[in-house]
Amino acid sequence: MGRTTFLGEFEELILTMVLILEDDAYGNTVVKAIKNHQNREVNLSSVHITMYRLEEKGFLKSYMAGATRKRGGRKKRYFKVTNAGLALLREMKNSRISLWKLTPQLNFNL
Amino acid sequence: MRRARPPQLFVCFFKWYCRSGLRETILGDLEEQFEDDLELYGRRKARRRFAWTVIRFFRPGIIKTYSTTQNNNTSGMIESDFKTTLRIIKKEKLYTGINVLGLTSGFSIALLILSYVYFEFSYEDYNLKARRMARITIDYLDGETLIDQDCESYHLLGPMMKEEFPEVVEYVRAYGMDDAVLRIEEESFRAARVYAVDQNFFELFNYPLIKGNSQTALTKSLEVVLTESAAMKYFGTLDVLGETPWVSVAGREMKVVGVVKDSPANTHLKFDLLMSYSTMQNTLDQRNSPWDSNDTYTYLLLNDAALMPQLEASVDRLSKRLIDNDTIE
Repeated sequence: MGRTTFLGEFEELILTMVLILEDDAYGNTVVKAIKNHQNREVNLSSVHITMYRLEEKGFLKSYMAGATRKRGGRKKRYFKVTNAGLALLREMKNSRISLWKLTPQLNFNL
Repeated sequence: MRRARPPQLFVCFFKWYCRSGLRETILGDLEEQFEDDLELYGRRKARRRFAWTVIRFFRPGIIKTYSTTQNNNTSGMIESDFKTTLRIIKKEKLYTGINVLGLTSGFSIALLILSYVYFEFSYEDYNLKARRMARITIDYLDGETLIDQDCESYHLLGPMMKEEFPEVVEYVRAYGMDDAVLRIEEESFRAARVYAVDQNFFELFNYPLIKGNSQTALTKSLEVVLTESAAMKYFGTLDVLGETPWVSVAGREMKVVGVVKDSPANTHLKFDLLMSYSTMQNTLDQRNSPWDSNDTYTYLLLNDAALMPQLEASVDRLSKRLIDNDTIE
């Protein structure tokens, strides 16, 4: 694995969240999703920074749309997972599962 | 009720530092979060969270960079020059070595020369009277040709010139001896730089006495003044007033009447031991003629440094008269 294809824990979390949110992934919804699914408070700025970084690495792509009155008529920057991002997430999941298979199996009958 | 707004100070701050491409969407997210927080936590905490998030956004990647605000072409050129330089240094190790070596040795030698010249120019600058002082030197002539020069002159010249020349305020003489041996109890010491001087030596050359009275020191025969380091070397203490070492040049015991500060490195007249001029008077008086031998440095203090040309004229007149009278050859 090259250097850019290696993801940190937080990067992996954000990438997964964007995947879960499908067509509604932007700063605020990602923060809320992390809070709802993981019970974890993250700062909006960390989410933004990480998403820009993932976009730079080619795992996310973004487009601007969806201005609402609530946000002062300003557009949102929506993010979508790219094919490369999806492949990477899958690979990470598989490698984790294969590692789990190598751990000693727990025996509850002892 | 007025609708609560996010703190405008932080909005302005954000707009100021954020890159233009990111500004709209992030500000929208910030405001949306603020609206949610208003319902969840109330006005105060919502404003506080807004401010904190703006501060957290203040980081590289969000802040506008120099190059986006101003397209500065020279920075790229300098960067490229720097890279090329590094590559050449890597590739041409021998030439780099020669260049660096040459440059460093050049710099260090230039600095050495500079400090040496600076030191040379600083001579006598500790003495405020130095610009008004002159030393009498002698030119030996054979007919019209210059044979030799000497900076030691006749011991009678000082008093004569003070009396005759209106521009001369004061004279001081220093009769140099090669060295002297001091015997203190059973021990012997060698003093390398020994002079018999007139009493006003300390005043004209600006040497403060550490011990003893500069008004009375060296007024009588057989008195000596030691420098600080000489006193420490011979006696191991500065409390040497009244000590009576035996001194070879006088052939008898002399009385220590003072301790003077060491002469600085940037003076032409350095000494370890000074004695009263009258101590040597006997030796001088025993000569057939006072014009037999020139062996004393003579210094004159003028009213004003601008009177130097006048002094030169006076000296020329005096030497002509002395020659005409066959006093000197």
